[in-house]
Amino acid sequence: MNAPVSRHRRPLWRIWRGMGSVALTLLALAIGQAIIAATPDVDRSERPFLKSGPMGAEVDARSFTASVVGVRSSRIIKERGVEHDTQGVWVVVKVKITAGTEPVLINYAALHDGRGRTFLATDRLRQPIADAARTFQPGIAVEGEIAFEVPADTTGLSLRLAESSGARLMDATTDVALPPGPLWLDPQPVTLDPPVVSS
Amino acid sequence: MTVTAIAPAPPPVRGWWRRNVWGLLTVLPLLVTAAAIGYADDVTEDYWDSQPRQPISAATNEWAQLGGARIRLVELVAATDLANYAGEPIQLPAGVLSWRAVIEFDAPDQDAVAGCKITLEDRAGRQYGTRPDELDQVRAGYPGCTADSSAGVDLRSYRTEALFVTPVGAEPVAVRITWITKLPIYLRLLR
Repeated sequence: MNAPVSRHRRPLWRIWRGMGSVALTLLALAIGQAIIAATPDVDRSERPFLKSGPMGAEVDARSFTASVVGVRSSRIIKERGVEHDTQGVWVVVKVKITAGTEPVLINYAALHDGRGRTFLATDRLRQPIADAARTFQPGIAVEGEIAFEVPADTTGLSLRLAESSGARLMDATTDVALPPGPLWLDPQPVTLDPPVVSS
Repeated sequence: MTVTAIAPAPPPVRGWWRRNVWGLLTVLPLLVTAAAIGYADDVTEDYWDSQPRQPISAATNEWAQLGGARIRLVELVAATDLANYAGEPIQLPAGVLSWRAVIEFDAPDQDAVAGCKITLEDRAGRQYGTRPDELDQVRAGYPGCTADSSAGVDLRSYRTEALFVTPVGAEPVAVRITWITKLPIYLRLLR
């Protein structure tokens, strides 16, 4: 005949078992949280596709192609006879844009610098082709200028254009590097050229 | 005399399958339900339906019927007589051609045709929009599918004129009319 189990061992066994369940549950939660932390979040996993290219080359931004034709800079920009000065620098980028298969508006135009800063196209004056100012028809290349206001010490600028505005999730965005080095400032005020169809 | 106690027989051991039979029987309908829920809310299908996929086609001067309205393409020709607001002929940029589409409507129910988008389609499948910036100096109205609200318009017979530009070499083949509310169905009026 077996000796009876000690009565005070049964509650202790249940407590150990319960604590073990809690510990395993917490471990599972911790592992899950670690996996979530290690995987990219929505902003990262759905970020825009940057399409790079040198100046002068056509960059394919899915619904349009763009090439940077030239860059000018000055301390003063003139629009309709009114001079706009700045504590920084005006950078005027001339681009050639051709829509692909449907009419396109450029809703996003920005300069990105080497320090990770982004400067949207200025709204201090009327933009001829940015900010959805002009509709680009398929197959018809149009050259136009976009004005930006940037700090005087900025370097490593690249032009980013996209059809989408806002977050531009998973959309193509051009990333064309402008000439490196300090910007040469035109001593005269610059004026934005009107857009023209490029043959 | 020695009496030997007979130990009771151990309870029969139930196999794994018998122990889990109810769980296994529940898994199958759960799987089917999960799959049905996934397919019932198919994002791919919603995206497909939001694009123009199902054309109702008609040749030039042939009526196309859509939602109680009849629409036909009267003409789609090169526009060579464009003038600016001062009445002077305009010069198009090199490499650009302009086109004029005249569309006729028989639409007593104006709600059936309101809110349309008119585009020109070329042989390569590219779409061109109305009122292009290349023709911003041209004296032209805003092409739409509803009649001019001024008095005297016969809703059974009114026309709209749309201007487009294409690059030289593009061959227009049709005028497309789309309504967001009618997608994926759209009209394709052939040249």
